Amino acid sequence: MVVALGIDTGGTYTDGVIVDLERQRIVAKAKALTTRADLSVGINECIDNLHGVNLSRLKLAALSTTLATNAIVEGFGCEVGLIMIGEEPWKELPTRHIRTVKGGHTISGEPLAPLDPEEVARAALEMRDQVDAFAISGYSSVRNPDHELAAKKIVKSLTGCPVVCGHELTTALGFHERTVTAVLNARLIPIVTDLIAAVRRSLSEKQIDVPLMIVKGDGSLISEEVARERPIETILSGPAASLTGATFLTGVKDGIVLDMGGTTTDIAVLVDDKPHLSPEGATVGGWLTRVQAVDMRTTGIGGDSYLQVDKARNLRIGPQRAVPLSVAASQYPNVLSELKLIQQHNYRPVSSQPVDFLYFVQDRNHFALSSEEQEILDRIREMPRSLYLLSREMDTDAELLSYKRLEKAGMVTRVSLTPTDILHVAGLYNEWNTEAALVAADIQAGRAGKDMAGFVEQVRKMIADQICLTLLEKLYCDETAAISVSHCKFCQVLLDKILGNASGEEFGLTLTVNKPILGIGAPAEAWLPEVARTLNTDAIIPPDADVANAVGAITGRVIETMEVLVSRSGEGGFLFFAPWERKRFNRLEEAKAYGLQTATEHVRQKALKAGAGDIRLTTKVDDMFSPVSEHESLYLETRITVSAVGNPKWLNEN
Amino acid sequence: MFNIKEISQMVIAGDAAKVKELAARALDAGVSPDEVINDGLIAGMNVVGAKFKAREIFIPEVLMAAQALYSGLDLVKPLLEDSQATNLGTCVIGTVKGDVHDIGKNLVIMMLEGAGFEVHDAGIDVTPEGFVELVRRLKPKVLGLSALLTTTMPVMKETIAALKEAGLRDGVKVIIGGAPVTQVFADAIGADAYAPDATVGVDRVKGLLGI
Repeated sequence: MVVALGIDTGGTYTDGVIVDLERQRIVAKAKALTTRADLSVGINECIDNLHGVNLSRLKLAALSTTLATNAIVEGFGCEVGLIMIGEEPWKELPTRHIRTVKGGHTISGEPLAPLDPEEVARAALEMRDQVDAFAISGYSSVRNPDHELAAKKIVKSLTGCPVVCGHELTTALGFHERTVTAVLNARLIPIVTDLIAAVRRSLSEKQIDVPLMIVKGDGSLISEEVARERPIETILSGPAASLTGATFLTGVKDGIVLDMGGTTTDIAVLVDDKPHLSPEGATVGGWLTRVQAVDMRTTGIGGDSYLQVDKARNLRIGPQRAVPLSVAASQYPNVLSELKLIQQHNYRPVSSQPVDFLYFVQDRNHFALSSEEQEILDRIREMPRSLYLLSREMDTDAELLSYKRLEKAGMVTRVSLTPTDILHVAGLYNEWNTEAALVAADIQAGRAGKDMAGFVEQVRKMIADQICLTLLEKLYCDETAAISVSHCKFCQVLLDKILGNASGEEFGLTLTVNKPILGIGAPAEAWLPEVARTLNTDAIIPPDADVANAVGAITGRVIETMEVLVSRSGEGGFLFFAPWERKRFNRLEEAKAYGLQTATEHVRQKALKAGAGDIRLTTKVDDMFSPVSEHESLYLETRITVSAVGNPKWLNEN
Repeated sequence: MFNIKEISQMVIAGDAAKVKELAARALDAGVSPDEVINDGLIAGMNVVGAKFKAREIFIPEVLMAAQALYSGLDLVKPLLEDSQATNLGTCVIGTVKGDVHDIGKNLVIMMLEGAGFEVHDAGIDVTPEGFVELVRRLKPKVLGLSALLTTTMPVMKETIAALKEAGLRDGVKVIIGGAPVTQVFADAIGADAYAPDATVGVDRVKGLLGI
C-alpha cells in the first residue's frame, strides 16, 4: 500500500488527508482550525486528528499553503535589497532598498552598457546591513542573463545572503513585473524556509520521516528544496490544489470547479484535466507577478461570512469573516446563555449586530493599548463575550466600546451569525450547536422583519445568487473580453430574470452552462445544488469534498515547463534565447536542434530537482512564418516549449 | 468670393508655390484657417490619396502634392494654433532598424498631420530601444512602424517585444505598414493594425482610437 499525507492550510481550516495512492481512495481525513500566528500548531493538531492510521507507513507528505499569499497581502517577509541593472524603477516596487547600476541588454540581447563589477559590489555592500536577501533584475535579462548572473556571483560572495535573479523565475518579457517577482521571491525565502522547518518538526515529532513536497500556483508539486529557492511559485496554491483534488475525487476532467471555503468561494475552469492559467501571471496583494497560477475568480462568500442586517432591514453577506455562533457555542456554553439574554432584552444596536461577540485571538507585542482595550482583552481572554453584555459590564454603551482597533490588529475577531449557522437552522448541518444558531437567527430574522423560514430563505437565495453571478462573470470573461455588466441596466434585467428575481410574467429567461460544476470545500454540498439548478447544469459533489484541497496536494504531479526562443537576428543568422544563455547560429536548423536539446535537458534536470520520478517529456516546436507574397514566406521565430511531467519520485521507491 | 476648390486643385497638381499664394489670398479674403485646411488642402490631398489608390498617379506625384500641402499648412498652421488647434492625438512614426526607406513613412506622416494628428517623425533606422524611448517620453496614442525589406520586418516584432519589456505595450496602439508587410504578419507579431497604404493608414489610426 502506498499511502501519503496531504495537508492544506486554508484561511480558516487546516485539512489533512491520508490517501492510498494505489487504490485511489481516502483512508483518513481530519480538520483543525488554522493557526495564523504559527501554522505548525494547526498542522500538528490536524495530524493528531487523523485517527486509525499507521503513520509509519507514509511515503510522502505534501502541503498546500496560503502562507506565501498571505505574507504578500499583509506585507510580511524579510527586507530585500534590489539591484536593478540598466533601468531605474518606473513604478512602486515591494522594497525600499533599491540601487540601480549600469548595464542591461537590448531586446536582442546586446549589452546596453557594460556591467561594472565595482558598482555592483558597492551597491551590495551599501545594503548588506539592512537586508536579509537580494534580488537582481536586469533590463531584458530574459534575452541575455549574463549581467544578472555576473551580479549574482558578486553579491553572493560579498554578502552570503540568498540571491535571486529575475530570469531564474520567468522567461516572460516585462521588466517591471519580473522585478516585482524577484523581490517578492526574495522576501518570501525566510518565511517559507521557516514553514518547511516547522512542518518538518511537526512530522518528526510524530515519527514521520518522509520527503515533503509543496504545491505550486499551477497545482503541480515541487520538492522542499525547490520551494525554498523559488517560494513565490507557491502563491495561490490553495485554489490550484482544489482543482487537482476535484479531478481526483470526481474523475471529471472538464468542468467548473467551485471551491467554497470558510472565507471565500473560488471558481476556476478545468479543460482536459488542466486548469486555465492566467495569461499575464498571478496578481497577489495588488502586485502583478509573472508567476503561473490558476486563472480564478473569487467572491468573498464562504461558510464563515459575516451576515449583517442593517437598519433599513437589508441583508449583507461578507466579505468580512466571523466565527460562526454555532461553532463558538459548542465550545463555550456562555455563548448560548448570552444569546438568550439578548433575545429577551430585545437589544437593537446601530453600528453592530445584536448577535456580535468578541473572541480573543492573540496578544501583540509593541502595541500600545488603552486601558479600555486592555480591559476588553482581559474579559474575553477565557471565552468570547457578546458586545451587549461586555458593554453592560464595563458600564459603557456598546456603540462606544473601543474594540475596532483590536480587530484591525488581528488581536480579536468577531463571532456572529454566518451561513454555517443558517445551515444548522435549516437542518442541513448538525455538527455544532444548533440551538445557538436558532436563537441568533431568530434575533436577526426579527431585525430583518421576517419570520424564521422567510429569513433563512432570503439568506440562501442571496448566497446562491452571488455565487451564480460570480460564476457567470468568470465564464463570460473567459469567452469574451473582460466586460463589466454591473453598470448595464439591460444586463441587470436579464440577470434578474435568469436568477428568478424579476417580477413580471411576460417573459422568463433560462441559461444553460455547458459544463458540470464540481463542488468542493465543506459548505459546497449545502449551496451548490441550488446554483446548478439555476444554471441548468449538473452539480457533482464527491463524498470527501470537504478535504479536496488536501487531497489535491497529495495527488498532484510534478510539472515543469519552459519556453525558449529562436529568432532571426537583425545582423544575420539566428539567435537562441534561454534563461541560461544566448547563443548565435548561422543556420536555423542548427539553432533549433541545439535549443531543443538543451531545453529538454534543462527541463529534465529541473523536474528531477523538483522531485519527479518516471519523467515523461513532451516538446512542442512552433515555427512562425508570415507570408510576404504568394510564393514567399518570411521566417520570424521558433518557440520551443518543453514540459516534463512525473509523479513524485518517492512514490515509486520501495 | 474666394473659391476654395482652387487650393485643392493646386494641391492635386503639386504646385507648392501656387498653393501658398492661394492660401494667403484665402486668408485675406476672410476664409477661416480651418476651412483652408479642411476644405482646401486636405480635400485636395484626399483626392490625391484616392488617385494613388486607383493607380492613376504614382509616388512622385503624391510627394509633389504632399509638398504642396505642406507649403499651405506651414502658412496656415500658426494661425490655427492660436484658435482651436485640433489635435486628434499624438503619433510616433518611424522606419525600423536596418531600413532606410522613408518615402512611405513620410507620406503617412503627412496624411496623418493633414488629418489633424500631431505626428512625431522618429526617422529611419530606428532601434527597438529608440522607439521605446520615444514612446516613454512622448506618450503617443499610436506608434507606426515602417519596413520595406523582408529582412527588416522581424525588427517590427522585436520592437513590440521591447515595448512589452518596458511595460509600455498596453498604453500604445501599434500600426505597421510597408510594401512586404501583410495583415497576416501584423497578426502574427501582435500588432494592433496594418495598413496597405497611407490613406488607409489614416482610417486605421482613427479606427484604433475610436475617432
